[in-house]
Amino acid sequence: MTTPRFDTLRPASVLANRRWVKNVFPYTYYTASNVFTPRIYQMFESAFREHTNGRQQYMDKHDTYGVTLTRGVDGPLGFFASRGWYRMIARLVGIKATPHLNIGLHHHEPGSENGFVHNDLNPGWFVDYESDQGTVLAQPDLCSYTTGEATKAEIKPRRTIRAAALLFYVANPPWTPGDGGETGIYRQGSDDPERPLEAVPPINNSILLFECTPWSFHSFIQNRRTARNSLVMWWHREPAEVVRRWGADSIIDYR
Amino acid sequence: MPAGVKRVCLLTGAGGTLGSAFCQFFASRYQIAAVFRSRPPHVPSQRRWLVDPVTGSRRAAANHHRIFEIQSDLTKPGEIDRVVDMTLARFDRIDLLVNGAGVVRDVPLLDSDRFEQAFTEQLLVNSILPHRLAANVAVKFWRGRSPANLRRNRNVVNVSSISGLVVYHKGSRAAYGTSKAAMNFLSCAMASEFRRFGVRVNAVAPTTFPKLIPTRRVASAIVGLDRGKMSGRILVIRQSGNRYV
Repeated sequence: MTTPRFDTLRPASVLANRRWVKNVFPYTYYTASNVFTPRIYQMFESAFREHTNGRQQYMDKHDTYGVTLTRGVDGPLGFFASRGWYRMIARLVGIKATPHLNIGLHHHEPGSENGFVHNDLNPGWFVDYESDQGTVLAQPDLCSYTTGEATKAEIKPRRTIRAAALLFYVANPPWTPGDGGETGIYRQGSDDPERPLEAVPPINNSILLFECTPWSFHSFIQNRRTARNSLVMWWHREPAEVVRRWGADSIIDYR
Repeated sequence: MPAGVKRVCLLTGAGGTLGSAFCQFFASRYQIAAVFRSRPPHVPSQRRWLVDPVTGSRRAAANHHRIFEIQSDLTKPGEIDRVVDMTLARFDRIDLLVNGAGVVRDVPLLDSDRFEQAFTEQLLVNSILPHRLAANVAVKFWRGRSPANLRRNRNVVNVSSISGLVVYHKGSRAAYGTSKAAMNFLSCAMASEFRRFGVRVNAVAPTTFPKLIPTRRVASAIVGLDRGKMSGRILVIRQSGNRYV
């Protein structure tokens, strides 16, 4: 069996499930299980393990380990930076997205702390470049995605704001209730992370997706027994649109 | 009641494996008031519906049979009252109550403090709350309606477990098994009391699903009990087949 070229795959050709759930309370978010065909999912899982093997860095703010997929990513995970995937998700969520994507591979050790309830309406900084796919990935070696701090004086980072967030659960052990590691959905930012309105379990080959707004409150819930792995990605939009819709003070700088 | 009107089912544990499957397979047969705590069933409801990610459109046919979801932590004071009131306000009646909510906590007996804590929690969720909910429906709706109850074949199905009938020597399921044994006994006692106003009560006691038997088989067994005439029975569902005790 031949290995497909992942950057040119049409999403419709690899989706096993085209019945995604659009949830409208307490804000609009999408969930779906058995998203990709088993063969494609297995390729994603193998690539995830290969990319994360010894390369993830500890991020103390989120008590998690992460690695960023950057310019030139190829192989199965290149699908997530493809034009087809980028467009399908942007259209589904209904955002006018800039070409910028941040894609991270995250790993929570068993017993990781609860996250904090937040909305992801944060800036994201990029260095523009031309690509076949038309998408632009974060380049941590040139500038910090969260602060825009450049590594060289001649680099001119561009500021965008997160527009949509997607979590794809991959390479996890079987999940049963009580294991934790879910993504909690909340009514307000002051909610207790342990008491979500709803909780999306980290079941392999499933997705959680939402538009980043002042009300898209979510959090990682402590994983008590097993590790939690996910591919996390953000779409972005122009700051002016966010200011027009929700005001400048709605944008939360990364602290 | 016009012929062809769907039966109204009040289902707890709707976000679990069995509850989700029941909603998925039988939302066309029942009007379901689906109670969940934090994990909703992934089926169309007043709060969610199915869309095609490729076209972005609603899948009209798939969204035709919607459940009515109620988010509730039934262990909290007043929640059982609220759930029953909401169901009756929405549908005007309850024909089938499925007590599907449950918890499993594996704790060894010799770990005394933890065992007692887990045992208390499981007794509450697996035995006491199902009884409390059934009694609430009985007092608010069924008790004064014997003829309609008989005509509509109204009934309760408690979702028990084979662990409530057989002692397994592997694992630390003593508290869970005892709580399900209590549920079995309560189901039979409830059948005896509810007979006075024409409501049947039964339980299903499946083996592990979906590992050993398909979840759909358990969901279908609930429908079978709903359609039947038996009361005070426990339907054991194993790989080798079904049998009543």
